Amino acid sequence: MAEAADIQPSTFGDDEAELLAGLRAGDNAAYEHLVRTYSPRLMAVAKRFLRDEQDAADALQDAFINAFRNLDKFNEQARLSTWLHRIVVNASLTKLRKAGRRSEVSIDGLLPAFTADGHLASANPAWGITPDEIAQDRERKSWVREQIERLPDDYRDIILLRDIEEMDTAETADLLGISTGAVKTRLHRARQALKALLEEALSTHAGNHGGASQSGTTSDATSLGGGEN
Amino acid sequence: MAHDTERLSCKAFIEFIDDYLAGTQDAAVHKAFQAHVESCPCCGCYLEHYKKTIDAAKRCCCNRRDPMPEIPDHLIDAILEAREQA
Repeated sequence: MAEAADIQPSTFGDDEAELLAGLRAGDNAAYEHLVRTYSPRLMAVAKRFLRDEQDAADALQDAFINAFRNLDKFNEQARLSTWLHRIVVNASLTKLRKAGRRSEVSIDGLLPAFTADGHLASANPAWGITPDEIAQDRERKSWVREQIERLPDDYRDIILLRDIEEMDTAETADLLGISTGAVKTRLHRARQALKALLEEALSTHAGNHGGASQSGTTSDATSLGGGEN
Repeated sequence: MAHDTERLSCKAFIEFIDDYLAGTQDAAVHKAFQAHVESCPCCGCYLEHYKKTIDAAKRCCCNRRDPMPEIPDHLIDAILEAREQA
């Protein structure tokens, strides 16, 4: 799991058991502590999925209500932070589904091309910059996020779930209601497509903040990459 | 999908990248995968960029140095009130 594992209750002690006991006893202070302590990181998770501040706040609220209702089902072998993380991810995905968004953009143009005998048709251009250098530059970091947003919804979501939120394949399959095989296939295609989007610009614009020229939206496009836009 | 693991094509090599990263390749595939990457600079580069892509996405979207969002009191209150109603 991405960040939620770092969360530690403070005033209720380092042991989550004390907080959990307070919650199960209906202690208002325990509930307030839970919400105040965990909300910032859970909100960060919701914002990664939903972008819109109000939508993320709604998802956060839905997640806590769901957690309160299901507290008796919480397995004490697990960590509270891990459990809440999954609940807020689920609340965010539910909100996305309700929004009915669906992009039909093809990513075929971003997948590698092969010769008839199965060899890569072209070499990869050099990046000229490391991921750490990208992450240290605010503009480049923002640009990488934009490239993830350019991916069609199904591919964007799988990158967020597996690579950013670090859900495992089975959890991701469960959350999305698809098979583990479908998760693996979709993730592989998503990573390949994102790789193509990043290196397309990083290789040629390494010195000017990671290729601002590639930052156009594709909401009305029918394909990504391969000069088909 | 069946592959001739004795000698992987670039296409098959790329299909096996996620299994390689997850450490779930079986021994025969792993051996063929290693042999391919040692003899094919294009695929070696592809693998490096693939790993960098995952790393960059992670670092740019989920950076521990980024400030956490501030949660307004009215939202905290709304959540706690919702609990009472629930």
